[in-house]
Amino acid sequence: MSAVLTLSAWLENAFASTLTASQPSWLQAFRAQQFEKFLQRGLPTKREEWWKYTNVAYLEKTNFALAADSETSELEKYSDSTILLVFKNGRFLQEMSDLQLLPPDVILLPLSSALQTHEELIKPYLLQEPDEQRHPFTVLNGAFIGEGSFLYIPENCVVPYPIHLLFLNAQQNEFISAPRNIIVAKDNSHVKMIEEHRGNQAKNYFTNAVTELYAQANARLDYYKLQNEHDTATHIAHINVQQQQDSHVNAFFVDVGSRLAREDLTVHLHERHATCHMLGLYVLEQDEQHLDHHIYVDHKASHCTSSMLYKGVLDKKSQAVFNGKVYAHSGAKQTKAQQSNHNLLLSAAAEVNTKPELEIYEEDVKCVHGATIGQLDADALFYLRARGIEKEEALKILTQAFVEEIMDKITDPFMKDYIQQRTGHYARV
Amino acid sequence: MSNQYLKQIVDKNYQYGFVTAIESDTFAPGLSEEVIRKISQRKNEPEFMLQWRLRAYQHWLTLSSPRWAHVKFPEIDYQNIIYYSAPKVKKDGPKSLEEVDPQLLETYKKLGIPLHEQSRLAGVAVDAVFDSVSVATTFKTKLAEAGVIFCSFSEAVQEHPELVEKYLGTVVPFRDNFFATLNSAVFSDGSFVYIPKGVRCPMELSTYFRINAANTGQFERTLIIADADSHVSYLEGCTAPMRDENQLHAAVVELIALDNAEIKYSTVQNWYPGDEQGRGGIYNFVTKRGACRGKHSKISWTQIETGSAITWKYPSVILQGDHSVGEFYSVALTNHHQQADTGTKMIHIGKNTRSTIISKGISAGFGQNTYRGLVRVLPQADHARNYTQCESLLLSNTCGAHTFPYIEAKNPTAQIEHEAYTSKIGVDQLFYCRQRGLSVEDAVCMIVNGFCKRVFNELPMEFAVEAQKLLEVSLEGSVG
Repeated sequence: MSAVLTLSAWLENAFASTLTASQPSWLQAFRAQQFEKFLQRGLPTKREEWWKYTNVAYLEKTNFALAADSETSELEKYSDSTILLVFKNGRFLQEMSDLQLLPPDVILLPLSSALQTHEELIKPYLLQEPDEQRHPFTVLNGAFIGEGSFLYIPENCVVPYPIHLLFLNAQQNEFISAPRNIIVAKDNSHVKMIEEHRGNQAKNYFTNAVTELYAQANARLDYYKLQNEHDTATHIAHINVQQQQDSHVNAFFVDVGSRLAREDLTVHLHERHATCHMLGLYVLEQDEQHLDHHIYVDHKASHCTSSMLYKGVLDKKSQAVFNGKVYAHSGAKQTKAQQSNHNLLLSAAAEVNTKPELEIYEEDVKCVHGATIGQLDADALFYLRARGIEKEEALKILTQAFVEEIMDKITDPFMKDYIQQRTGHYARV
Repeated sequence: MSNQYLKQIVDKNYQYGFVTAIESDTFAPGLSEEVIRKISQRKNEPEFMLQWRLRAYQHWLTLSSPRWAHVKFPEIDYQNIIYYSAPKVKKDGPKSLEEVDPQLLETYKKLGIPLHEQSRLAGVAVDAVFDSVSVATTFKTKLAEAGVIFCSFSEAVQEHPELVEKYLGTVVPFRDNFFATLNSAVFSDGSFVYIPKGVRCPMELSTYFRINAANTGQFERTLIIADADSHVSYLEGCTAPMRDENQLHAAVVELIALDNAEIKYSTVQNWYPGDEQGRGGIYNFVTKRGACRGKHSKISWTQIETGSAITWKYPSVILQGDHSVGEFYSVALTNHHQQADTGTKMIHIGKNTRSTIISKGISAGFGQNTYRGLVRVLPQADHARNYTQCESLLLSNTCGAHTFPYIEAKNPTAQIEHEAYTSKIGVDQLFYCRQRGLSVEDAVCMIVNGFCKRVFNELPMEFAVEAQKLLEVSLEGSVG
């Protein structure tokens, strides 16, 4: 397997340079084990069902290294009333972060600090063993654990301000960053957060992110993800959600950047009455831009509800992949699941591969899915043109209307405004 | 309430499970080049057929059994299967029905096949395939008047080798997949239909397949060619005796529709499904594919799948000609320990091509029912249109219903819609009917019939009777 060998050459170097004596020994052992596991498995290929439409073979040819220490950059906050944690090229930037509004009993730390101050608390969350066949890049991220964020909201706590995790990538090329974020919302707590990946004057870098969300009983978690990487970057992320009884998670994904982006979202509804709503919007306007959403919702308990609504606009020679799967175990009575994926193709070279799946082992369920692929309605276009609106403007209006359905689901006006400004011209109203 | 009715269906026996004691000419189990040469020799085939079979066999040796389907079964021992079994007949073979073994005719009578002359009432021309060999074809002369060729595959190889050579393997090449390759190497008979230019086939054509001998695999091959401006409706039915061991059925069906031609292919598949514990039953691993080669051509698949321990088939349409149309209507029922992984593929190549997919899955007992479909629109297929609807009814706590639709679009003018739902019969629906004085059973029957109606409507009249009968018993009792 020569492919694995070339891959391991840069990997070995990068991995070796992250081994620091300051990490606890259990973590070093775990990382070495994850590294070994990844090397044995190798990169996924298009022959694997989970990677059928997404080719990551080029990763082995790029010589990614860890980013060097970097200086601060200019940046804008989306509102003054946020709690902000900033990372640049995978390293924490103390001077740009702002934790003034953080309630005193909430823990929000960069992972490197949390490992020193809250080692025992964080340990069980880090020692998760993902299935290497299904989530090879999660295993790879495990090998690189070092930085990221740790957010812990104690019982009955409502965080009044949104928490903003900003991953800036700037001023360097061909580096790998592997942030690991752990978010724990204990019983009856409530938090609203945004994880943003932004690229600026950085090329060909590789973000391999893993975010673990734990929503305990009756917790409410609003999670927004904004992926706006540089258009030469690779972004592969796994968001893993674990939900207990009566918990409620809203997950919202906006993907506009990257040359290749992959979002793996896995949701485990462990206990009764858990609810998860997933929304996604992708606007691909670059040639050879590729986005892959893989979603897996595991209905393990009764009376759980899940919904997916993903919409995409594709222009130029871009490609989108959508794979949503609802799995209802025997005994998951009164399961309600909805899936829909709608795609708008604006160019002849764009391509969509969509696969909404249902796997149901319980009779007492209501599961619905739907998918559409098409172009703008010619009649609607004619209607606008007949009223003297330029063709280009008319196309834009109709596309905006298509996108608006998703944007309208963002209830927080500040968040909506912030996301709209970063989604490109189709989202601005 | 549901248990009571479920029990009824559990108790329902497979009524086609008899064995006919007929002397047959049977090879020893096992597969080798020798066996293939012997099959070819027995059929007195021209050289090109033998070479084709051998190439397929060589290729098959390099393949391994596919694992991707959502079905579970123990490894099949391909050396333990009899690849050729023919009912023994007088040396010259039957020229008319009188010469066919009367016991064989008795079998078909039990099956309700209108093989005899009284079938004129039904107006159906039947080609009956027993184990591996076609035993009788009715209405030959009447069809010949219209210019239609409807005969067994071996006859076609003898009498129309040029047509066979031209079209065989052009839709399902012998390299296509594991089971199609196996079939290409060892198929022993099947049906052949050729509708000449401008002819509308005067009657429904029909084939009955029956596996009789033990340990036999049935590998038949059907080839239907509809020349320009022609029309044909073809029906297929299948049964097998009850046996404790599993039997393999790996057929290949190829349809070719030229300009303005239309082929309607209907199947009522009722192979032995195995007993309540899931012992025995047929493994139905079939490759069915049609090619709409000509402009404005149309291929329509309708299938009622109630039998087989495992069903694994995807009747597909390749929409090559501009303005061509593909349709797929399916009802699949799995009960006891039956497993079905079925669906379709619609490949849009020509401009303005249209396809419709309506799939209804019903799972009861421990049945696992999977819809797996592919809709692919290639870049040149401007204004392609697809509508897909798949619905699943779950009737027990232990069954499963799954949907795996693949949609691949490479053309912005394509319009593709897919929708699906999975649920049980609504309590409110039942209540509504009960309130109006219907018994539970009638209410359930009505709801399920409504559920399947869209597909039943597609069946030709002659077949609808049998299909309805088959499903009624199964469906009525299994819902509650």
